[in-house]
Amino acid sequence: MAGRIVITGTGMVTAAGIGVDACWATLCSGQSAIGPVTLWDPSGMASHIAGQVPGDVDVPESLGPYPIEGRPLTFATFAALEAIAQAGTDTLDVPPSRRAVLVAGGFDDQMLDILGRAADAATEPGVADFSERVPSDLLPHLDADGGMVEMERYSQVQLMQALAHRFEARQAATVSTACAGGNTAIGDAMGMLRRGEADVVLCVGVDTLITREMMGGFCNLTALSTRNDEPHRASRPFDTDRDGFVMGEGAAAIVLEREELALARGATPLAEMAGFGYSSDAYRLTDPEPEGDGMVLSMQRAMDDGRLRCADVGSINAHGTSTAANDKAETKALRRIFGEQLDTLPVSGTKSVIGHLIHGAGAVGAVVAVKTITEQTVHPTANYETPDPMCDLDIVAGEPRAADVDGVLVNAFGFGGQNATLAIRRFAAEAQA
Amino acid sequence: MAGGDRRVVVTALGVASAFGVGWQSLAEGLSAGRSAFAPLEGLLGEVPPGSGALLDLPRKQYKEWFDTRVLRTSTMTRQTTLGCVACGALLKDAGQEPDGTVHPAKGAYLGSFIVPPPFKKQFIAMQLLSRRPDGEATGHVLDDSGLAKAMKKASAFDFLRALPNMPSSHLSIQTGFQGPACTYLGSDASGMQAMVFAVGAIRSGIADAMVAGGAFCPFQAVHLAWQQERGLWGDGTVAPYAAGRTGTLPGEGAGLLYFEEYESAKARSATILAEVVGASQRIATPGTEDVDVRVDTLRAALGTGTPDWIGVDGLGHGDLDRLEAEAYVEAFGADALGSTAAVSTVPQVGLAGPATGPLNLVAALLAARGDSTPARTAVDAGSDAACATLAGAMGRTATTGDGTTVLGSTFSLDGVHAAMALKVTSA
Repeated sequence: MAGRIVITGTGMVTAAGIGVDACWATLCSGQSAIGPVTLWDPSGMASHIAGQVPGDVDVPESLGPYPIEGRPLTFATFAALEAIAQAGTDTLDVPPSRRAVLVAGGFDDQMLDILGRAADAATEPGVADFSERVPSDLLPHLDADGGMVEMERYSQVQLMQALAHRFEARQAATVSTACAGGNTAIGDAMGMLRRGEADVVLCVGVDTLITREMMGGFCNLTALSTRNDEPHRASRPFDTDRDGFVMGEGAAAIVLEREELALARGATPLAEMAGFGYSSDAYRLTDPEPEGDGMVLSMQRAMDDGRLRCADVGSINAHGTSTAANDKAETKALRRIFGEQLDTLPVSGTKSVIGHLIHGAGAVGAVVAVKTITEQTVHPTANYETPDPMCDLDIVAGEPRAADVDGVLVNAFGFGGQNATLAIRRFAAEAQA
Repeated sequence: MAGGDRRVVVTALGVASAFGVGWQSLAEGLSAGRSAFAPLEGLLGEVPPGSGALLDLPRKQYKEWFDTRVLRTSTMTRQTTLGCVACGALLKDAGQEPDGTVHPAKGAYLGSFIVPPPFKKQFIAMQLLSRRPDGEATGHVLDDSGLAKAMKKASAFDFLRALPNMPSSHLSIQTGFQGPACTYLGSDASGMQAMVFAVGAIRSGIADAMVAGGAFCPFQAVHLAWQQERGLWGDGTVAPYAAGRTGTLPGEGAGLLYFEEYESAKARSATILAEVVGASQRIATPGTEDVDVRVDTLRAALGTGTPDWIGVDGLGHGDLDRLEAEAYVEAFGADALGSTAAVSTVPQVGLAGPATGPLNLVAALLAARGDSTPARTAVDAGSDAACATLAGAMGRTATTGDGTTVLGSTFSLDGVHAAMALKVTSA
């Protein structure tokens, strides 16, 4: 069941704001939303800064039988409901078996906290008493604490269940390709739509890794920026003075459906989800392949899949983590594909403003790409002050750039070498030749 | 990307279970009616369930199955290790052993749970790192010395191994596969879900070949506690659909299938074991009597007709067995199932979470090809009509050879259900 796939709804909550329009306004301001970590006391940790969602996010207390508690479920629910409202799918006459929800997500801070409490209870009076029989020491405390039932309420599985319930979907999956997760969920959704397995799919990417556990781990990998005194200047993709990425949090959602269904019900396609590409570096767990081989495969596959020529691509939403290895490999990969065209191809790095949402990053990129197309504007990359000569890109900086953008590539390259690229283009009522 | 009309075949199997590594060990163990359950005392003390099925695989043997210079075991959880071991067996079986070259059109999908770091050092680190300053909420305060201690103990490798995408990342590095690689997260059905999406990827032209399945090790506090709270454990014997069933027992393992696009497999003269007839996945509200969703899952995978062999969950659990049996009977009819043979690995190697669905499908396929004979283990008449139907199918022998249909299914506690139908073929 080939045919075009269109985007009819978007939703987003990030450090840049609550809601797509609020996020877009901040992105276009060119100001970074990175600040000090206030969710907990970060003193003693190498990195004290992150892109925290500002203020309270208003969501229902529950979606059917599922309570919405904790930051991941709250953010994902907000983004999903915003996308559903825009798409108008609540009145859609599609049976549950032909609706699907695909979620990209990872760890949950509440879950780790529960485990930590059980571990505390099991090891009093101190870690010195921690024996080899850790599981048997821990188990009674997990059980007595009601920890496992409590933990289920915060799990990614519960998120998938809650969203499937709300979307009245009878197909659902949770994917993890780390930083590429959001794009993977969208790519899997496109596959389902094209194979005729579903008519409409809600895709959500979410992560809330501003936690001691995850930031501590990434600190140990020396991957995070330690520009603690200047948080708003810390995330600076493609800039010579970068010193690592900045953790972010939030969620983004899109509703995908087959074009004929959207048009038949009078929905307004925001853009065409033209193509996607997956690849693996098959190289190392911690480093991207330095020549960008896997990234090239991912991007080329997305363009081939979407039948986009280089000339059709008017902007790149870069993965742009603000780590030297990634920025350089991504630049090489882009150069290998676009050649001299890259000299004047606008590139923006959304993570410069909101930090890195890990599983949510690709989905954020997709929503930003939609705005780029509908507004015909490329948002600026914050903190692009001293261009890295190894990253010879046309980085949009300082202020938004008006541009005639037909197609946008959205890159997401995961820790562990898992890559996914989306090709999104302006919706035209007539099929592309 | 094509609309999804390419033929997909199965050309190799990868198994790691308490019976050993390789499908041959599973076939031999199942046929012999052996039980792999052993006391867990040395591992878990007095913690119930008291016994489980573990794979005895010393670390020094890892290099038989993967290159330990490329895949650092310090970055691997037990479930990742099991997945890589099974993958090594599969690649040998397929004649596709890694040679340092990369394969752009091949990929790897794996289903797994999110696994918190399971070992002593990580627990200590987690304990320290998880303490928060908001004393009212959690009662824990982490001072600088505690944080420093935690940071020292939580090495980068400890952190790496717990990332949820790592199992599939390891597989892509092990195989040199540069196509898609993804970890599907969830409960028991995620292994089967990974296979469903892998078949979709080949049908769509995203890849020409995919390693896919599930891997899991439940022998850690968190998962055992969850199983305990969910009342999954029995009294020491797993008796699927039997009137006297009391629950299941944990096991560890990995089950992988090598899916290839038909023309590609034929071009390399691969041994074709079966062709994929259909695949499906559904979600229902967990904890409900969702028989209709389970029926829909089975029917969406097989279409019309009745399977000759079924790879069932067969947990030996009161309600879960009943719901599964009711779904099969409603989908195919009790009379039609009268000649169907049912296979489950759980009574002999335990419930291995996301690995169990793929392992059951592998076991059913082996039986359908005549490569193993399922043993009749601890089965009585069944507690009700539906269970009696599947109890009667356990240990039965159905038709074998070309044209035989095999249906594997997994019905998860989290409400996610998945199924895959195969037809045995040698051409």
